[in-house]
Amino acid sequence: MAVVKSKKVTFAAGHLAAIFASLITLTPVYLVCVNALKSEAESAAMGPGLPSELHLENFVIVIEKGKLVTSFFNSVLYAGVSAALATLFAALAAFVLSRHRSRLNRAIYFFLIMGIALPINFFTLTKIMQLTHLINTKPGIIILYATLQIPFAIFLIYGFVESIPRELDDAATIDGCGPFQTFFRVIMPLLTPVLVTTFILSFLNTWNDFIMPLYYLNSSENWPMTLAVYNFFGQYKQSWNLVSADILLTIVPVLIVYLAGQRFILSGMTSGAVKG
Amino acid sequence: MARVELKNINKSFGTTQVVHDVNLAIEHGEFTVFVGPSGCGKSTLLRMIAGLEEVSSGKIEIGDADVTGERAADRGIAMVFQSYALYPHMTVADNMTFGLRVARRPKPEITEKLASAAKILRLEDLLARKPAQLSGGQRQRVAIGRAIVRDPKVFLFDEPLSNLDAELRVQMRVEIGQLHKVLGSTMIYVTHDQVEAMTMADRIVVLRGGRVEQVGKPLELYNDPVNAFVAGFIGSPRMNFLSGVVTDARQIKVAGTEFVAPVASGLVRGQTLQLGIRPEHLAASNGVKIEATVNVIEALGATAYLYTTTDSGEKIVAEWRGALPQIGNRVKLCFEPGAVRLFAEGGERIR
Repeated sequence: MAVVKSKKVTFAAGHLAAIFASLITLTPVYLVCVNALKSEAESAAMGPGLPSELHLENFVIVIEKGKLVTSFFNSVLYAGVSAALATLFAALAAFVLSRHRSRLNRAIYFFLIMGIALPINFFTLTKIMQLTHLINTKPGIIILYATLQIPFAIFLIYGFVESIPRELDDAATIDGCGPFQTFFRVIMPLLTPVLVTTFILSFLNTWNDFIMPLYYLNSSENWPMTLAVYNFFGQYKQSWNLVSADILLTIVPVLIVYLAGQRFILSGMTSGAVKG
Repeated sequence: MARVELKNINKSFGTTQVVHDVNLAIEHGEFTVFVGPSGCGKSTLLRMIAGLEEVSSGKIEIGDADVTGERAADRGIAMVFQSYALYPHMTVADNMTFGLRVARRPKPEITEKLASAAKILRLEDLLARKPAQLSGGQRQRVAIGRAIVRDPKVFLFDEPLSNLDAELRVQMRVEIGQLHKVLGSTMIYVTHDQVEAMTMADRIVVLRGGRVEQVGKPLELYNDPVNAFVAGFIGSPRMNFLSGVVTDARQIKVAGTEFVAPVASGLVRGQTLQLGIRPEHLAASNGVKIEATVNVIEALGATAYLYTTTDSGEKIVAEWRGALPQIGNRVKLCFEPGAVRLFAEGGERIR
């Protein structure tokens, strides 16, 4: 009996902890949701009460004044293109590094993987961005984001490549494929789950990033959503209703991407098995 | 169809040499089996013929053309792998025609070749399926189909049956044998299973440590092995080896008895040697007798095998016909002196 009881207590305690943790994350989301629908006066206190009347026009105002349309497309461009580039290059690199385990390739692999842990040196990065004339340009920020995502992407894909039998490479060689055909026609289709995972994670990371555009994009027409929100907040900090609406609109796209892709994220992170 | 010739083939991985100076001619239309224990270099040899592995030195000819530096796809070979190596994301039809599509062959040719290969292998109903939806035997047939579609001069098989269960293995063995008759192509087959080698091969190549030990027809190897390794490797249960001593010019003492050795030249008195005798040769009704104690009996119905120990502690497996003894009984094992194969201490055959 004592064992059953203590099990029940642990169970209940676990649930309490989970509920508490959920509250911590959900409270701000709730506050933003209700306040986005209030009038300016009502939202001034940023309280938890429900709005007395719905002010849906807040969203329209925000979209117009906050340059949300431009910044939305900027964000899609930066996150989408950089995630695609990072996934493609990481997959190519991971395939070669995993298949040819020479001492040099192992060294290269670990060098690339270090990028996950090591902090960015903004001083040298700025110098390089200036030197290459990539600072304050869209291609510049895309290349920068792709580069930042590559280490983790290689790490994810590398382990997955191992699970694809080498005999498939041999079979492709005998069927007349060169290295690139082998990769694009045989290996890449089998990597789909992990490639989708990599793409989504990298997309989300870039979408949520705030620092890079702050440093490397000066002109407001190049800003992604995160920076636009920040700027909007600076201008309208007395209008909490508008700020809340702005934050909500920024969250929605990334939420959609996450929900659409979460099935792949899980399967790509856990399973590595491709059995013929 | 073509003959395959290997001339002075060597292969090293780093500093370890895995194939030593192999010379081999495989005739047109022949079914050749490379057999040997794991790590003997048989798969490496096959992969070098396929073009998946470079040779360190030597020359490979297929159909009188030197293919040593050619790409695998240009050698006129097709290969069937142990794990089937089917492309999991493609249907059976796409798997089989992948090579033709990579080579950009015209559509009608692809359709025609697919249809004829599918017919030979009875795969017509499975063409739209993915490999994951097939049984092991079906997958293996698709892998063979992929090879047939390429219309190769030489088929290469790398332990194609070792992933199948015993019953299916026997069935596929027969099917591959029939396929060889139908297609008449040169086939090279790698296996570690000597039963597969014995049943399928026109000629067997026994390899050990990257060297060719003996090449010959299955029964040649069985009856006339050049050394103790081949003698022990071919045949199941394996040949018994007993140590003997030469007591006179031709007289040999073994396991408590003496007999006249079936050798042409004289032996040196006092020389120690190994006597090889196969289990079925110990079921003779008369001849030289060895006494032994029965430890284990394997009754297979038609025949039985006794696992015995002689008084000097040597283990002997013997085929047994007639009434079965009890475990612990002493039995007399008889053999004709002519059935014995003699090997020197180093393993070379003494004739």
